[in-house]
Amino acid sequence: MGLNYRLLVLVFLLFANLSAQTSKAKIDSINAILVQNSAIKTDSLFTIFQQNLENAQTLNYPKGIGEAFQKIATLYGYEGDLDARLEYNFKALRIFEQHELRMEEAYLNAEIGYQMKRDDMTKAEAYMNRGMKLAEQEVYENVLDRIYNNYGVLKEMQGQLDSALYFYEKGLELVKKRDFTEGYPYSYSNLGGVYGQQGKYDLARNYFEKARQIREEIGDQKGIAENFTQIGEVYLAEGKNQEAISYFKKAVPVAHAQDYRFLEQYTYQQLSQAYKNLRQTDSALFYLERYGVFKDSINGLEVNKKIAELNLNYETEKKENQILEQRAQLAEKDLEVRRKNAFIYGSLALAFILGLLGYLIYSRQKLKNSQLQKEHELQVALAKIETQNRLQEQRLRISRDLHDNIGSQLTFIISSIDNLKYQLKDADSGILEKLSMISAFTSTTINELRDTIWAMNKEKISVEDLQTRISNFIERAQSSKDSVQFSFDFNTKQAPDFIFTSIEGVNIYRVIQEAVNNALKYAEAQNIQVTMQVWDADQFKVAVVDDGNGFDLKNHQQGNGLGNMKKRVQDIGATLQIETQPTQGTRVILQSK
Amino acid sequence: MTLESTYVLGFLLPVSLLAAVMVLIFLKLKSRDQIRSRQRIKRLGEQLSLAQYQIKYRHKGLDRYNLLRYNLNDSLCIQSEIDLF
Repeated sequence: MGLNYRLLVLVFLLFANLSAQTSKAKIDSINAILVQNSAIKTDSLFTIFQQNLENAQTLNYPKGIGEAFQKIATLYGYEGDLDARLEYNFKALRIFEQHELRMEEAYLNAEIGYQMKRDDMTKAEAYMNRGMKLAEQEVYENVLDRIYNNYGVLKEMQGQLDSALYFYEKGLELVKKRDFTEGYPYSYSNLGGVYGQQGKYDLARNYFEKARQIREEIGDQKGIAENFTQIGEVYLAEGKNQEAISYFKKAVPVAHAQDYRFLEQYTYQQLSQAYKNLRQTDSALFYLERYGVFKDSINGLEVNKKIAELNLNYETEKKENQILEQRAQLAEKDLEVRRKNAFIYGSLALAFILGLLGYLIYSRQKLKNSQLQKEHELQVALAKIETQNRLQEQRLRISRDLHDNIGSQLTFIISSIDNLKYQLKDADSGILEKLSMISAFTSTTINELRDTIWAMNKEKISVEDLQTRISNFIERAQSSKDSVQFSFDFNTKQAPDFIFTSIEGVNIYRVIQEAVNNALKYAEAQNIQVTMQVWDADQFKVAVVDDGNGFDLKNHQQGNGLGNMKKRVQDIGATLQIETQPTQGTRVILQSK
Repeated sequence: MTLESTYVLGFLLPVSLLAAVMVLIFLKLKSRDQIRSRQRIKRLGEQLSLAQYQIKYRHKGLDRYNLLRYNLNDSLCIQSEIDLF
């Protein structure tokens, strides 16, 4: 049982060892894939080497781990991610140092130095020297050819072309010694580069062409692309721009197909330069823009910096322009707002001013109208009153003339009759009586004429005035006849503002006067009562009542007195009623219709 | 003071000034109108008073007429200041 178990464990360990050996060989073979020569796309290579790294880590295989890190670093270099490349290279370097893998350590040091050539030449040379010394000490010919080649590149970059040629030649010797096919193209390309810089263009093109042919044989597409570009560069240096362009254009699709971004970018730059030399600015700009697309590429760092700087300047300028444009827009908007505000404020101000002006004009016009209306009313009133005054005055003057003329003539007639009566004093009494009647009639005519003229001018007589005049008459009658008792009642309560026309007033007065005189003269009355009553609608009633003798109205011979009364009443459109009987007194009633 | 308020003030001041000047001018014109109107009204009033006085004067004369004495000459008072034509 124990023996069997030991045998089983032994077999297992042997199998495991064999299996591990097989896996390590596989890892080594994968890590041996030349990235430069590979036809596999970079993305696929990333996956392959990542998987290989995991496998190596699973097996805890330091060489495999370190080389896988190194390969990934190289791929990052092709991708243009310099930080990642450095990080993975250092990871690989730590693995090699820890496990004393000297050859790998020597080569990686030299490789790191080579990769740092554009960033820091001093550091690059230090790493390169370290790697070269390690390789020379241990005579690692497998890596020394590449180290020499790379060191030559550093020298070339520093303008030390002879030193560069020296190292390239040393590298080429080792390649030849090892008959390392993949090594030839590097050496030839490097030599071609130096000769190109030395102005030996034919020699340079010859080396590049040789390198390209070998690469065609081994299928190193990336190398082929590089050689096309290098040949193009030689033509460009010679001033043969068209030839240069044709080679650059050959390089671009190959580099693109291989995802060799740095080379593609660099070739675009060279294309741009070639077109620029030909003064075909559109094409130059086109390739410059394509070149700019690869701004993250490691070898285009400076250009990228410039582009970035230009971009920055451009962006800055663009932003400044945008800011200026925005400011201009803001200023324009502000101006627009100001214009609008000015329009609004102006309109408001204008409206306010116009409104105020309108109000002030309206106010002034209103006042003027009010004043004019007042003045007009006064003018109308004045015109009316003046016209009335003129009419009245005219009437008054005519009346006066009439009175003066007719009155004086009637007076003259009376005087003449009186003289005639005196001269005819011995004449028949009938004639004398007739003359006396004519004289009295003329005198009455004068008085009536005066009453008429007065009434014509007076026009109206108030009820109070008439009352006063009648009262005066009654008082006078009373004073002339103390034995007779007079009474005068005037009822105006229903119409205190009653107005008579002057004709009415005079005729009423004369009727009262006649009635009272009759009562005194013929009726021998003891009591005479005069009453007057007025009410609305021009209605009035006057009564003169006495307790005298009265008379028989039917048999009474109508004298001048009653006739005059009837005539006066008729003139004013009223009615006269006389009620009397012998010994029963008399009632004379005058009433409006 | 903000820019906007300064802007508004820039409008407000001249408008206020213009409005004040307008108001003053119109007050002056109204005052002149009122004085003239008062003068005219006063003159019309005086003429009216004179006319009313003339009416009163004439009526006063007519009131003097006594219906018992027939004194017409005393009541018909001629006014020479009334221009008939």
